Amino acid sequence: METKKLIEATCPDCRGPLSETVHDDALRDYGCLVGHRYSAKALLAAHSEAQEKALWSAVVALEEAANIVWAVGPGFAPEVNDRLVRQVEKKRQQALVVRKVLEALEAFEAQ
Amino acid sequence: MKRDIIVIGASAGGIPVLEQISAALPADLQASVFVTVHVPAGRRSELPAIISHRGRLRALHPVSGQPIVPGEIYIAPPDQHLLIEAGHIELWRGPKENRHRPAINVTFRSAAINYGERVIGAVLSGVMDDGATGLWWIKRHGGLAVVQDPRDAEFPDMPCAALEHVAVDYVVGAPQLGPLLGALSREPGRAYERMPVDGNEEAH
Repeated sequence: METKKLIEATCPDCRGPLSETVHDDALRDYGCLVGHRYSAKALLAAHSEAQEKALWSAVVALEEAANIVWAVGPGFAPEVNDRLVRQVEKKRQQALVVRKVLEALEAFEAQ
Repeated sequence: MKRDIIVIGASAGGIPVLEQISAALPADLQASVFVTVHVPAGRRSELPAIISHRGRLRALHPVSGQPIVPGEIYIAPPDQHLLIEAGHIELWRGPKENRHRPAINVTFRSAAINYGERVIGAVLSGVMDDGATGLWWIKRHGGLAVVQDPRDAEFPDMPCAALEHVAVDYVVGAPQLGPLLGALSREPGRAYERMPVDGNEEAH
């Protein structure tokens, strides 16, 4: 007997829909639409990595904004460019906040 | 009916145990041995040479479609799941399980589904808990479950997880594993009632 239910979360490997399956009322495992499968511990470990990866993506988004502005800013009127440069400085500060979050991030410990 | 499909899963700390098992298996073993070890992708694995070295059986990376014959040790190559189908081996670069490819559970589950009570599964030293659910499937289909004694394992996580989730038949130290697997493959299996199989059940 197999019961399967969707969890309101996504697969840490591919971001596809994630389900929990219970076999014979005994064995519990987790799997996504495309077939990544996890034990509870492996799911926690994989999700810890997914959190870190997502936050690094946030850092990239905020920090690379400066390079975008350096590239496109000079094409705008000087007052517009100045505003963009000020906004970039704010984004750099926000990126530092996310870097702090990353430094303090803890992997799940299920042992 | 003989138990002639031996599947072994290992991770960190498992290689020396595999060498011991290989050294202890008899040259006339009437079973096929399948080994899945967590190895990194992107580099050649020396495992076949390491495992053949001290033993009397040939150890090799099989190719997809390779027929299963007794007395050979088939080792999952890097970055491929090793599936045991009826009469042959399939290699499959499918989705990772427990973040591994090859994954022990994938090999064990395919063995359980295709060979039922002919299967002996063994979980050796390793971190985390790959192999535990695979061993559960082997038991569910009438096979035998063997676990390296956690006190004897360099990394006891995998043996402990298997013991936590599965009614294991034998818990033995590394020196006893090879002789035990050889002996179990000679015993006729008890007449197990095969569990009903769900219609939608797949090996992967």
